[in-house]
Parts: sequence; structure tokens; C-alpha cells
Amino acid sequence: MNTELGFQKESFIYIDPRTKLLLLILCSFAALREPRLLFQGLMFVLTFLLLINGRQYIYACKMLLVYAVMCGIHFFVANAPEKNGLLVLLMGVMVFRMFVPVVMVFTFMIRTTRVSEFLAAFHKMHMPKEITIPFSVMFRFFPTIGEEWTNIRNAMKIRGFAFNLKNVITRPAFIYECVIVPLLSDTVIIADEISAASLCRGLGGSEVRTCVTETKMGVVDYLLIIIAISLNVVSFFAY
Amino acid sequence: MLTTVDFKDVSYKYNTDGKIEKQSLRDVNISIPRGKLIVITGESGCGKTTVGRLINGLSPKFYDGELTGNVNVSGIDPSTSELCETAKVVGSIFQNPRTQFFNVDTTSEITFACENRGLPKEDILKRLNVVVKELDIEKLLNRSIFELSGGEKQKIACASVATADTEVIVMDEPSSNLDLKGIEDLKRVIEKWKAKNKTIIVAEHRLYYLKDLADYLVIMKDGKIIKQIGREEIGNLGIEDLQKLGLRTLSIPELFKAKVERGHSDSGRPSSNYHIGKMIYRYDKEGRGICIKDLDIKSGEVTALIGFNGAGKSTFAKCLSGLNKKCKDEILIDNRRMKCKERVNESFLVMQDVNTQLFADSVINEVYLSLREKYGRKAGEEDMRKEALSILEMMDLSDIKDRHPISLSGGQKQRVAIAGAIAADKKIIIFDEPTSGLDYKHMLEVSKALRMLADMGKVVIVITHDMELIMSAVDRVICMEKGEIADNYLLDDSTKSRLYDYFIH
Repeated sequence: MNTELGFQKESFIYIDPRTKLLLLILCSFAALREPRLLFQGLMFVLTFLLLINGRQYIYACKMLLVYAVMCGIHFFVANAPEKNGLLVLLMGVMVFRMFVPVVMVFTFMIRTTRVSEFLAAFHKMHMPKEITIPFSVMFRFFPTIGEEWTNIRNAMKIRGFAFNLKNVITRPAFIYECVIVPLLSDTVIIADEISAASLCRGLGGSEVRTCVTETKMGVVDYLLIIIAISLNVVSFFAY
Repeated sequence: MLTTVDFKDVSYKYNTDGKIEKQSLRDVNISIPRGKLIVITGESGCGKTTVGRLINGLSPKFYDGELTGNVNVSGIDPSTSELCETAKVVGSIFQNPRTQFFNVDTTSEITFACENRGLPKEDILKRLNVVVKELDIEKLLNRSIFELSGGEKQKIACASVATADTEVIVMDEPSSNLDLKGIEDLKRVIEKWKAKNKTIIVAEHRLYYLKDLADYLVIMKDGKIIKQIGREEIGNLGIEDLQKLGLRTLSIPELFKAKVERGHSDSGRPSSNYHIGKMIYRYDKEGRGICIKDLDIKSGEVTALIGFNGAGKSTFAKCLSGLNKKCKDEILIDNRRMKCKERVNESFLVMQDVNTQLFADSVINEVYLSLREKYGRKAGEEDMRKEALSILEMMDLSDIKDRHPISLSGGQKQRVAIAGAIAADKKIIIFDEPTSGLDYKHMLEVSKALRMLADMGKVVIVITHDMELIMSAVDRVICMEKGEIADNYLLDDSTKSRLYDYFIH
């Protein structure tokens, strides 16, 4: 089963989760504002370096390949003598390419941050309990539902109504019911038991919670934020 | 002596959705001195869990209900004070290791109670260090909860309670999802707590591991305390006294004195032979997984699959039932090759968590579901009804045929799942720990069901570490170790010592 959310490896240079969140937002803005290839390429290189820092070599190389193919299509269409039919393809590639760095930053964030780090970051940002508690429950619930989902699929297969394309098309209502009924009844029980256990550990008391996990902004964090902001400034004034 | 937990004429009724249910506790009087370990036992539904819930405040604060009488836990009344206040005095460990965590990584979970209490960070870290050394869990720190085994999860739960350092500790069937090693570890933790003068209340079916630790044994029935036994007298309880009270065994050696009377294998009934020529599946690069060669399993026999966590028992079940397509196998039934897909159609897995296996809105519809898959639209409504009713009759489910599966007890759900398997006419039926957390009576019911399936000529495989179940129902024992078959024998009087040795070491 997948480990917590998506965490895989510790980065070479530690980056604060707050910085990661900010980078994601700034990167989305910059990438969607400025479609020109030079700028986009620069963004790609920077996010690529982030992924390398997060030890996501295979993923980074895959994205490099995808990006290279898209640039190839771009050049091919741009230099083709008869463009009309290919313009739709070009549009598609360009839009898709814009999102690549954003997706890469998101993956980087998910795969290099522990859930406790996210929560510690929220804590430092003085987020109210009403936001942080549902958030942590959500983190807790995703993998649980994943486990349940595997069990349900196995059980369906054994009962003779496997969750496969054929069944979904030929009898969608029935299959839907077979997924939803056990999923609901099971998650209700799980949610109940988790609540009881966490109440018995004193969750929801009036005291201010302590947070043991440390998050600290360092030079690298500020540097990254400055780079991200300047990219946004550039994209803003380029027009 | 100082009394830490005191119940005076306590009665309790649960209140679900506005309906008052039947009395859960009647006139219970218990007083537990400081530093004592008290084991509360009794048949399912006897009210032992409720006693625990009244101590940690979950009843009536979380599970709504009506309380009369007085509960006092070291000076506070859990029924009126806030749960987070009670949590400072009472630590709780629950039955299901899967659902007692709020965090996703181990270290956060261990420090969770202290964080909630708002203790200073340095203090929490100091406590963490002490507990980690005490319970010897360095290896488990900073891991994802989801990759731990049941025993490891239960250790983290213990560590969490130990870090909170509460005076009273309540445990609700803490051993029910653990293997032998897990139970041994749990016992050691309880020993340590006892040495630290904690007051411990354990509601439990499985008694043998607590025998040497318990100061009192309280036996309950229908919400009443029917017997309270002091430390010296616990040893005097014979296996028959216990069984009369519906209780599990107190001593393993005594269990093995019983004669094994079976020999079903030579009953002369025609049986099919399933020959596993090979079954190889590796799930990681280090080559862990299972590798089984030349194993014979007969229909009409109940086969127990034993072995520690991670020995590959569940993987074996998934491969045999054809759920794992990546498994390289060669399985023959009476010398005919049986492919993966065929095995999916022929086999049924009763999982530990039955909730994910029931799909219909009533017990009888669950059976119809299987019958419809079997006959398609060919069968007449009337024939199907007859068959369904006879299967329900067989599984002792006729009285509850119109109830929703979610409203049933664990044992009943299990029987509904078995009814579905019989209706689908499956040949291979595999159970994954069917008796974890069942009392003696319900364990016997499962044992009967296993025998019945075997008599119907099915291949019955039980993954279990429940000695009492093995002794009462099993023909053949297969022991797995590191993905391979370590031992394989018919269980009778001459081989039971092999089983005994396995359980003792």
C-alpha cells in the first residue's frame, strides 16, 4: 500500500513546506501568464532542478522526455509548410506544456513532504483548528479508502461481478451500488472508531496544541521565493 | 488501599438514534485498587467493553446512553467531565489497530496525546525518548503507519499511551488482531506498566497471556458480574469450568491435553486433490514473497495455515484464489491444470474485515446476489427462493434474513459471507483469521461452519493462529515461514506436540 499520501524521499536540501506551497501558487501564475518558449523553458529547468533536489530522478527524466517531445512537435508544426490542419495540435501541445511545470512542482511537494510537516506548517501559519483538523483527517483518510478500495475490488471479483470495463458499461447501476454500499458502511465504521480513539487522546481540548515537528525557513527558502517572485514580475512586464 | 476506579451500582443503556437499547450493564460494583491489573471477560455482548467505555468517558460522552449510579476514576467523574480532561487520567488502547490512529506517521502518533494537552515541546521530546527506549521501538519511529503490521501498530498505540503517562489504562480486546509474537510483545508492555504501578483494566476474550499478570479476573454475563476471582484462584479454573462460562482457555498446555478425534481424511468420501506444482510470487526486488513447490491440498479437509506475520499466508491465499495475476503458478486439480481465471470463479475469500464483502441491503438479497451470478436469468424466482432459504437455514440465518448486513454482529456477517459462497457453489473457501476477537461460543460456531463446508466436499483453508480453533476443527496443519512451507502434517494425537512446540516458541 502506498505510504502516507505521497511521501517518498527526503530532499537533498531541505525546503520548508510553506515555501513549497508558495512555490506552487507562484509557479501556476507565472506559467499560465507567459506562453513564450524561452520563458517556459526556463521554468521547466528550474522545476526540473527542484525534482532532482527531491531525488525524483525517474519522474524528472520522464517529464524531460515528455517536454522534449512537446517541444519537438512545436518546432515541427512551426516549420511545416502547410499548417492549417496542425494548428489544433499545436494549441493542444502549448496548453499542455504550460501545465507541465505546475504538475512538477505539485509532485515535488507531495513526494517530499511528510503529513506532519504540512500540519506543522499550518500550525506556524496560525491556521485555526477548524481548518487543520479536517485537513489531517483527510490525510488520514485517503490511504484508508485506498486500502478499502482494494479489498472491495477483490471481493467483487470473487463474487463474480468484477469492477471492469465490461461490467461498468453493461450494468453501471448495479456495479455502482456494489462499490458504494460497502465503501460507505465501512468508512462510517472507520470514521467512528478513529474519532473515538482521537477523543480519548485528548483531541479537541481547549489548550493550545504543541507541535513537535519543526519547520524552519532557511536561506534556500528565501532564495527560491525571490526567484519565483521575479519570474512572476518578468511575466507581468513582458506584455 | 487506595481505590483508583470505583463503580457504585452502575447501570447503563445505550441510546442509538433515539431508541433505548437493552440494558448493557446492571448494578455493576467494582472497585479497583491503585496499581492493580483487572481482566474483565465474558461472552460477546456481556458488557465488558461498556465498562471500559465508562472509565474512559466514551460512554456516555461519545456513545450516547443513560447512566445510573456512580463512576469515579481517580477523583473525576468521566460521565460529566470533558473527554479531554478524562484523557489526562485515562489512556485507552482499542481492538482494531487500523482505526485507532489519527496521524499518518508513527512519531506524531506517539506524541499526539501530549501535543493535544499542550505540554511544552522539550517535555514531550524527553518523554518520547524515555518511552522509545523502554518499549524498544527505535526502528518504528518516523515510519508511515500504513506500512506497519498489526503488532507494530499496537506497539505504537501502547507507546502513545505510555507517553501520555496516565494513571489508568483501559484496553479493549488489545490482542484480537495480533499474532503470537504480537501478543508476547503486548504482554511485556503490560508487565512494564504494572511495574510502574499503573492501574490497568483489560477487557479481553483471550486469557492465556494475562494469566500470570492479572490481579483479579471478573467474569460478566448479560451486563452483570457473575464471578470475581482473585489472583490465587485463577489457576484453579479448569478448562471445563471456563467453557461452561463461554470463556477461552487460560492455559495452552491444558488445551493440548485434549484428544484430537477426527480422521476425516480417510472417511472414504470421494475427494479432489489440488496439487500446487509451484506457486512463485516476488513482491519486491529483495526477492521477498512466496515460493511454494509440490503441495497437496484435499477437498473435504480443513487445512490450517499458520505462521508469523509476513510469512506469506495472505499472499498464498491471494495467489491460490487467483486474485494475484502476477503469480507464476502451476496448479492442478485432479491432474487438470487450473488457470488463474478459473480459480477466481471457483474460490471464495472470507476476509478478516467482512464489511467490504457484503453488497446487498438484506441478508437474503446477499444470497440472491450469488444465485443470480450463478444461474443468470435461467432460474425461476421460486426455485431461487427455495435454494436461498435452505442455505440460510443451514447457516442459521433464517431469523435475520431481512436485516441489513451492517446491523449484524461480526460473527453473523461472517456467516452471511459464507452463505454467499455456498450459494455461488464455490469449491475453494479461504478464511483469513475468522475467529480473531470471538468468544468461545462464537469460535465454536465458526469451527462448526468449517467442518460443515468440509463435509460438503469443499477445500477449506483457514489462516489462523487461534489454537482453540485449530484443535477443534482442523485436519491438516501447514506452517509457513519466510514464504516457504516449513511444516505440513495431519493433525492427530501423535502430531499435536508439533503444533504445541510451534505455539510455545
